[in-house]
Amino acid sequence: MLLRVKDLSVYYGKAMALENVSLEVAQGAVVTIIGANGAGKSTILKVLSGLWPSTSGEVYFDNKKIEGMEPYEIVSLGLVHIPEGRRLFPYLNVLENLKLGASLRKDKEGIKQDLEGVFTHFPILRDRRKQKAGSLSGGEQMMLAIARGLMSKPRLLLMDEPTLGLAPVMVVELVSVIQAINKTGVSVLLVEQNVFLALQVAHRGYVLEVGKVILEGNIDQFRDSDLVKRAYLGE
Amino acid sequence: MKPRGIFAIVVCLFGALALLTQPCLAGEPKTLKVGGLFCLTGFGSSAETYIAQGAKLSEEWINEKGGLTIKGEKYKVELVMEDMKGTADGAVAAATKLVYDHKVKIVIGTVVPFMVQAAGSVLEPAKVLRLVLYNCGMPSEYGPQTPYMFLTYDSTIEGMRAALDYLKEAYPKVKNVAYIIPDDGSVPYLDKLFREKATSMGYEVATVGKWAMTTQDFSPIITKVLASKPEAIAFANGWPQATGSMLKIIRDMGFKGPVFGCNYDDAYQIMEIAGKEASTDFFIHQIDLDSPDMTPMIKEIKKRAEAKYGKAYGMHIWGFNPLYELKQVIEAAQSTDSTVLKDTWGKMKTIDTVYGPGRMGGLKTYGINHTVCAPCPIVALMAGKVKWVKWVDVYSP
Amino acid sequence: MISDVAAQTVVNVLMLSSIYILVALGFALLLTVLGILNFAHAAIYMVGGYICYQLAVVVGINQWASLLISMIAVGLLGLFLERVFFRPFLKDMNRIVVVTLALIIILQATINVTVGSYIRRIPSFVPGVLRFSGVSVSGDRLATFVIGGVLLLAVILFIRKTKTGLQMLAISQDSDGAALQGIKTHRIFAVTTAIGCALAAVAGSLMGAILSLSPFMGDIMLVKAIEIVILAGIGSIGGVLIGGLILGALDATLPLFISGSATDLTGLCIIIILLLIRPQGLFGREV
Ligand SMILES: Nc1ncnc2c1ncn2[C@@H]1O[C@H](COP(=O)(O)OP(=O)(O)OP(=O)(O)O)[C@@H](O)[C@H]1O
Ligand SMILES: [Mg+2]
Repeated sequence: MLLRVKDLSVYYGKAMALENVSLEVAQGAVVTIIGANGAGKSTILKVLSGLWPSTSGEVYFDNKKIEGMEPYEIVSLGLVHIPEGRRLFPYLNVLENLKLGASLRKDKEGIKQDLEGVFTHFPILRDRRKQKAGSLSGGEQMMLAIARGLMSKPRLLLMDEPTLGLAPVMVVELVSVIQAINKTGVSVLLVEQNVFLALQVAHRGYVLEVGKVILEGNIDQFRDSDLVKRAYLGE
Repeated sequence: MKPRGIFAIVVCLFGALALLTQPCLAGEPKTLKVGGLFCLTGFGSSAETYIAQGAKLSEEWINEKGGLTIKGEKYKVELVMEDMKGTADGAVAAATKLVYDHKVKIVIGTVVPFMVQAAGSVLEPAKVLRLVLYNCGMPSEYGPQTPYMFLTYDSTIEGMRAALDYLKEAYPKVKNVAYIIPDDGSVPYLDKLFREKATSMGYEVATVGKWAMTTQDFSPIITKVLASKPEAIAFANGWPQATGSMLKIIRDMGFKGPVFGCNYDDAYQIMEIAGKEASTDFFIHQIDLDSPDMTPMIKEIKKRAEAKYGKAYGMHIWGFNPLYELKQVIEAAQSTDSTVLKDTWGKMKTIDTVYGPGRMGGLKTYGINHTVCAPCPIVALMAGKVKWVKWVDVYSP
Repeated sequence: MISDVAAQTVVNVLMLSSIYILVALGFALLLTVLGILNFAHAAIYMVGGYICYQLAVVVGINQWASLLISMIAVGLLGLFLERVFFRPFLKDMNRIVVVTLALIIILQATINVTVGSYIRRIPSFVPGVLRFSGVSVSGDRLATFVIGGVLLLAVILFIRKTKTGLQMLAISQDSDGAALQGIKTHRIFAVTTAIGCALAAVAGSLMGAILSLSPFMGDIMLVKAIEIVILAGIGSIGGVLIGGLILGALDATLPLFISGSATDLTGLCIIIILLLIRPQGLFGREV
């Protein structure tokens, strides 16, 4: 298993956000976490990337215990988090944002190559490379956020609601982007409200409700699940 | 009750009273608590730390000489210092502490006018006798409405009069003078008095420049003053950083004429700030501790300061003076009551100061005769050296 | 004469602005990168001046070497302060205010007790006066402007052109976002504090030569730094330069026209008017 989370509990002050959550991501898989607003999805990702401490439980990445590590140490292992709301650097231009994604890397040649790769993937970013990130359109910002994440050379990409604020056409495009990334050998843990998208790209899934995993399984099981149908697909 | 019974009770009461007061009569001398208000930190502390040391020396001096004798009783002086921290709030807090915690009825200290006023707002209503060191001529600071305040030595007004007299003597060719004042509220009063004295001596007033108390860099104000083409420049008052900085800038900008300060300030410190090159043709109200021309009392204080603090400064002498005067007033009044003391002092015509014989004055100048006028020493900076000039007699009517 | 006054004033504006900017830049960097209001920044400026004085006058080593050592020493002091005083409280504005205010008292008292309050001035870095065509300019003032200008240029180039500088900007715009890129935030915090403190030390040393030293010389400077940052708009480094120039210009020219305390008031009014026109500051980000 590339990522293994065991009995994770997290608090914000006195309020419990996660209770004994366990989940796994296999090498090469796309796994999704779905759940209502406030279920604790982003909290899981924040703990994984070291932004927020867990109260109890264990997290293994590539069989290494990672909780308590600084965010940069976690990034250096290849666990890369594209946060909710994208968190670009709005007053820096596209190129600078991308370079910052490669903050920990020393291989100048590799960075150059990856930059080229990102630009072929998202040609619009090449055209806008001198434009401030804050002035990009929502779709362009999403591409930049993903591209910036890729510049960190991820082995597992954590994506938190990448569809937020995107037009339907862009959502369809996103499906192919995620699939393409996955094809290069990068595993993906995708947090989504857009369950259609999640069901389309993921191999496995978890349903989170007020801090607890209430359903997990292969994505085929999800498609047939009454719970998912009722709660998230409105059927 | 029978008369004999009453008699017995009265005898008992007297006996008890005698027993209670017994230890005081025969044992240790009583202590007279005197408050000391100085800035030991913050604005003004660079001078007032040394003034406070001088005050401490005077406390020791009095006690060594057997303290104060009032109606046959011996009193030791105990100086209780409070730090005003260089702010008006700090002055109010320190004064309040002295009056209500330490219960003092006499306070020496406060130098910078805004702190004199702030502390006065607490001390004056409490009828505390105040021996203040300095004044810049504002009625709100010192006047008929401050009957408990005494000005223990020449201030900027006396200093200005003495300095202009000396200017005439040393630089007879000078025709006009510029006057530079910190804008602390005193400008209208000092401006008027300066113009009066200067014009009566035949000088023209080139300009009166005011600088904000928060001024960091004096270049702009000096630029402006020099544009009025003065032949001599006077500083109403200030502190060594300000005076030294201004002197340096004046010389840097090429002004060659005489420059002088009217306030009591340390010439060595001014030279430290101005630098040796700029320190020439400058004079100020100050003593020269190394000159043989000093009073025996100054020589004595110098010895004591060197023994206790390693080095003596003009500020030590200044800080010594108030208690030196207070001792005379208390012994003349034979009382420690602040109202009795103020009435007695108000009737005195002369009082000895460490700077020499003093005369009481100020009724015309300040509206109250609580001003001690004593000989005003002048020290010059010439070619990077401190030079003793002379004592100038000065009196504020 | 008019041209003489004008030339003199230009020199004064440049000198005063350089000092203001050197201090305010560090204050602004700590505010935007670490997200803390370091009220002790101007006390650090004061400490820088005293270290330079002690080295140059008491120890007696070369004046310029003293300036350099003071800059490095205070930079190291910055590292220490960041580690011990700032880092534990970064997310807690209330505590940071208390801690930095306490730091002012600690630093002032330390200097007051160890060096004492006797007045001191650092000897001139560039002694003497330069005269060109009737205008006299003190060597120190010119040197201050030159040193200040060079340092500011160096810092701006550092921020704009180096990887560390880019990371500083990134943290100032989104600190969590920056951490997720693998930026070692604490290292950047340390570097930023060291740079900010070192700049303040240079300003304190230069000011100690032009004017004088006092344990309380930072009190007014802190107000100036806050005014400049407000004027600049929080988060704008370029704005600090312009804000510093404006404040320096006000402080150096207003006394020519208005005298006394009214200069302070007028300066403040002009700043308030500027802020009424642009509430986010001259270069503040419209968020
Ligand atoms: N910094 C915080 N401080 C306190 N409570 C927080 C904080 N962040 C999140 N929470 C709370 O924790 C719970 C889970 O939040 P989280 O952001 O993980 O939800 P989510 O599943 O990502 O929701 P959404 O779909 O709306 O993004 C919520 O009740 C939220 O209010
Ligand atoms: Mg979320």
